Amino acid sequence: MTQPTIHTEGLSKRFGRTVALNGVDLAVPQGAIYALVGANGAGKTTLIKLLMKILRPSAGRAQVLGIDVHRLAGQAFQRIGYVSENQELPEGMTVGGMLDYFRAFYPTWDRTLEQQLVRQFDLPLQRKLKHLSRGMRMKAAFASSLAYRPPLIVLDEPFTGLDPLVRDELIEGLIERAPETTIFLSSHDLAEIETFSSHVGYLEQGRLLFSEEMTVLAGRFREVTVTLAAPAPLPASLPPIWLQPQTADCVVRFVHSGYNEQSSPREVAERFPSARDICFDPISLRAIFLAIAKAKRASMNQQIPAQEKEA
Amino acid sequence: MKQVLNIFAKDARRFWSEIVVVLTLVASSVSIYSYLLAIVPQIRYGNLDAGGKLGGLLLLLVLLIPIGWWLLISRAIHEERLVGDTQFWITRPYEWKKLLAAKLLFLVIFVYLPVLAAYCILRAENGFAPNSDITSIHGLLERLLFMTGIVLPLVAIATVTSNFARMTVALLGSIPCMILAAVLPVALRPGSVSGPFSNKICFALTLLVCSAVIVIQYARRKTRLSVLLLIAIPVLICVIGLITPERFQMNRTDPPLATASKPT
Repeated sequence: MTQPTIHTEGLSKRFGRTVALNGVDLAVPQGAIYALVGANGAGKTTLIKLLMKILRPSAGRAQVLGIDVHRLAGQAFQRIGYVSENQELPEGMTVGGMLDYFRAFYPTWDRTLEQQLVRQFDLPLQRKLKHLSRGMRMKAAFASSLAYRPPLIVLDEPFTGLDPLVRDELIEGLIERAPETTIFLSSHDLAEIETFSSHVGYLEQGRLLFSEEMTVLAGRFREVTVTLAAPAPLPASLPPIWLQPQTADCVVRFVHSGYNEQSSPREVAERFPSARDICFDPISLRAIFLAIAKAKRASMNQQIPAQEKEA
Repeated sequence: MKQVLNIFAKDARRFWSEIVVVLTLVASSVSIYSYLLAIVPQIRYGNLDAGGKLGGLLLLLVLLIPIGWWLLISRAIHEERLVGDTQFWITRPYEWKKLLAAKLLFLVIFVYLPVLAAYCILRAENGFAPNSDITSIHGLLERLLFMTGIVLPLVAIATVTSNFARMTVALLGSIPCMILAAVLPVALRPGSVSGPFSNKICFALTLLVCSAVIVIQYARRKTRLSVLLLIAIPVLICVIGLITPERFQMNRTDPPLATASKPT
């Protein structure tokens, strides 16, 4: 079995009393396009900064390309392409000047690929980076991080605030590199990620709730619609893996987070003996995450009054 | 070495205008001084008033040179700033030793070398060949040390700040601290002995701490620790002022009467 490109064990980061990342165990297989998703403040950027040694972990360990992140420095970055929405660029340089400058740092820099990326992203070589739009700057950052064919590309919210055309161009550029590299990216843009990611991880308040292959995840979640013979209240205790149950007249809807082709139809039928029809529909990544996030929020809201009562 | 030269060449291209300003200041100072030497020999002894308006201009230029260094150092260091976590270079294959070497090379070429050249020209104008005698080398070393006393703290402050404005605030804030550190011991212990020995220790300490800060920042980017070390400089100077090492030296060379041997 090949070693994962990114591997973390109990990785944690605290900022004073705030826990930004809490014991994250992660394995990103070689050649994967791994999408890290989660709400704002979930810890996505912190995790990426720890992997890039921009921050130091409070606990746990991490390896990138087989190198312990403590030792990640200098030449190790010849094999990593990192682009972040918050990353600064050498503003005073022209796009061409920046590419010329970076070229000397990378023995594997491919001039032909560089020229191809410049054409593909329509980069103005003579213009200074500080005079470029946000989209253009992102494209320049992409070109400077792809031209040396790194085995690992790490992207922190690369599509935030970009127009659809630029997003498409960047994704196209990424997908072309995908066969020769591992891509690890964080994003809010679930619809976009769904189109090209092979793996997905979900961070919630610093914890990695799950990390799995996209096909497995998509297979695990179904929207279930139960049509009853007559209006009836929801059964008192539904399995916790049935998220967000709702009822309206004769229809009950929920998201099944542990769907199994064989057992799930039988389980649902047992819970709703008066069901006239039961439908299991695949749902989008966006719908999956909304269901998880809302279910989490609902359970927290239930916990708070319980704690208040105890107090 | 390739990386050092690549970074150096990039900085030299990027900051050519600042470099031109500093070189012009040094070259103008040398030209005016040489011209004045020919017509007013008294200025050789530091009497710039004798040079009239040109003497005033020379004084202004000499004062402007460190300000030029300040700007140049800020531009060079802040180009790959060490404070923060969004800089482009921290996830590129930079090696800290090579980055530091490139910045030092930049300082040597554009700060030290022009002054060294100016010194050689002035020594030649004065009738001494450069490095011809011990006085010349000694004088040169003294000037280089004096320059380092200006340049090194500027570099250290640049490494713990993110831009020119912040560096300026830090620098302006450090000046009253240093004055206070020098004045406080005298105020606290009137009659305390302070002299060249204390000053040398304070100077060496300042250079040592500044060097440590520069290395820490390039190697580890531990800005808090570095700032604490810089804050410790005036505190240590104050402590040295209170201890007054001259007292120990005097006690050794001229023991107090109580411990001195009684006359027979």
